[in-house]
Order: sequence, then C-alpha cells, then structure tokens
Amino acid sequence: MIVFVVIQSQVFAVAFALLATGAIILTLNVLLLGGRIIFFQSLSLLGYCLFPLDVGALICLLKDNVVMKMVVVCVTFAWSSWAAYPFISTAVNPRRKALAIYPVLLMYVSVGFLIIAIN
Amino acid sequence: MMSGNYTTIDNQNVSGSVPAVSDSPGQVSVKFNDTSLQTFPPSGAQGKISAAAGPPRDADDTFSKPASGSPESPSSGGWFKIFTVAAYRPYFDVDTSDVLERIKDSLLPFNGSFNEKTASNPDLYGPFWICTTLIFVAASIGTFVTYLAHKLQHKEWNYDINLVTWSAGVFYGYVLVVPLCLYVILKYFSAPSTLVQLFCLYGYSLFVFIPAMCLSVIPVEIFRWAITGVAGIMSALFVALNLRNHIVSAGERWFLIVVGIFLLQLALSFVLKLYLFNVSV
Repeated sequence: MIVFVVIQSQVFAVAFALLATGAIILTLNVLLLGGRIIFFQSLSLLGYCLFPLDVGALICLLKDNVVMKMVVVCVTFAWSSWAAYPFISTAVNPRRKALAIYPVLLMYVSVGFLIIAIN
Repeated sequence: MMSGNYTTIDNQNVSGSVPAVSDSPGQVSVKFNDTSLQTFPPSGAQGKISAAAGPPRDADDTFSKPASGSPESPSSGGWFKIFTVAAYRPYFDVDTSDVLERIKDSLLPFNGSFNEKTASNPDLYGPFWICTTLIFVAASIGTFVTYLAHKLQHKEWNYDINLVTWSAGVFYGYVLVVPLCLYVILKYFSAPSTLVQLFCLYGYSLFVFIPAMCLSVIPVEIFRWAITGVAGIMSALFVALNLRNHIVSAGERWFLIVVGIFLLQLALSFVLKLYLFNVSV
C-alpha cells in the first residue's frame, strides 16, 4: 500500500514558483507577440488580479467539501479572469487577443486547481 | 482678474474643472480647448482598467521597443542580442487564426504539408504553450484519476506534487532534446532543417495528447490503452510524414531516420500511459 505524503514546504515551493515564473512568462508572452506593455506594470497587475482567488482559497479553508470548493473556485476564477482581461486584451493587436489571454486563463486555472486539490 | 469679483472667469483654460456659477449678468462661457481637456475615463474604454489610451509609457521605451523599423547600431551587443526580447519576436509573429489552423493541421497527419506551410514562418508560441497546457492537463488528470480510484476504495488520498514536476520534465525535455538531436543528425546527412522548424513540428505534434488525456479519465483499462495507442500513432505519423517529405533527399538512410522518429514518439505515449495512470493501492 502506498500512501501519498504532502510535504508542506514542497507545496509552498510549487505555488510560489508557479505564480512568480507564471507572471514573468505571461508578460514576456505579450511582449513577444508584439504587444505594448510595461514589464513591471503587468507583473503587478497579474498579482493584484489574483486577489479573488485568494479570497476563494480562504473560504475553502473553512469547510472541506469538494463540491463547495469547486463552486467557490469557479466563481473566483471567473472574477479574476474578468479583472485581468481588459488589460491584456488591449495591450496586443486585436487579432492576437486570444493568444495573449489564453495563458492568463491557464495560470489562474492551475492556481484554482491547486486550491481544490490541496487540503 | 479684471475686477474684485472672485467669481469672474474670463478665458481661463482650465482642464477638467467645473465652471463656477457666475452671478454677473453677462454670462461668460468657459471655453475648454479640446486638446487640453482630459475626459476620464478615456472614451472607448471597457472595464475598469483600460489601456485604450495606451498604457503609460516608459521614460525611455526600454521594455516596449517596436519590433522593426528602429535603426540599431550593428555593433551594439553582438552576441548579447540573444538575451533580448526583440531577438525572439520573429518567432512569435502569428495570429490567432494561424495558430488554430496549425493545430488543426496537426490533427490530420496524412496531409504531410505542415512543414511547407510553416517553412516561412515557424513559430515558437505553439510548441511552448501546447507543452505547458499538456503539463497542466497531465498533472490534473493524473491527480484526478488517482483521487477517484482512492475515493472508490475509501482510502486516504493526498495530492502528489511530484506529478507536476515530473510531467514538466518529460514534456519540456522531450520537445527540447529530440529536435536538437534531430537537427544534428539531419545536418550530418546534409538535409538540413532549421532548428526552429523542428521545434515547431514537435511542439504541434504533441497537441493530440491533450484530448487523448482528457478521454483517458474513463476507467476502462482497454479503452485507455486504445486511446493512448491511437494518439501515439497519429502524433508519430504526423512527425514522420512531414519529415519524410523533407529528407527524402538525404540518401538511403532517410527511411531509418523516419522509422526512428516514429518509434520515439510512440515510446513517449507509452511512457505517459504507464506513469500517469498507474494507480497503486
């Protein structure tokens, strides 16, 4: 029988690495697609738009029900993406909007997934 | 000020300020020059944070250099240029419709024309983000599968963080190392292909694993093997056929190379199947 053990420091490391490198890569992605943004403005904005997911994570701490967690994460993920969308989409050529938005959605979905999966 | 009345407003160009009500009989109208008036928020804005008027500019345009047109001194940097963002912009010069079309092409392996279509404009956006999506999908579906299995047997379950790092290593490693080796081999057999084209080809060939993994959630073992097999064969055919059209000129050895590539891709799909969906109880 194999038991999976969660090492708390590993979890923190993955979450931090994901968010830090994710924000940098997302900004680079917009710059490479020929968009016009300022590097640190984008980093700071993506960090602030993570706030709804933080709220969701705090709510999920209170009760350990998987269905409730999924609902809360879905709502806060939609809120975070809605907040980040106007900034990213106006920074690039309109024909490449989806190419710039998709990685942002991917990062927030993976953060949401971490919230659900780790108890 | 013409008079002692502090409410007189004569031809003042005030920007953004509300005109005071004048109680003098001669109404003066305050003229706002359009050029100095700032409407807030900028028109055409959507959402609270809008950059429709353009984001605030850097003092020296450090991070938002336009891609072309600015004459740079040729001796600036030399080999340092590979560390700038601008050096890689040509490889991201694709629109949404281009990327979608290339993805669609990767799902139809028998066409064999992917290489010609991307010869003039190979992109690195597709490979990088397809790999990243694959890592996320692999980690989440692998976690979900083991979670379901443990739930069904009423056992303790905890999240295995190593899935993320492991699948990252596999996918990024595969897309980085195999095209590099292939580049060297092809150069040796004098049928050269640019490195970026190979990255592009391998990156898009991995796309078919995304739907395959989503379908693998179904817990029927034979179905999982069938899905893995089909996806592996499609992906391997895609790579092999596209390369075959390209390296037929390499001499008698081309068949060996193509078969080798085919088997390598199949091996990747088997590795995925074995390690991601291994439920140990």
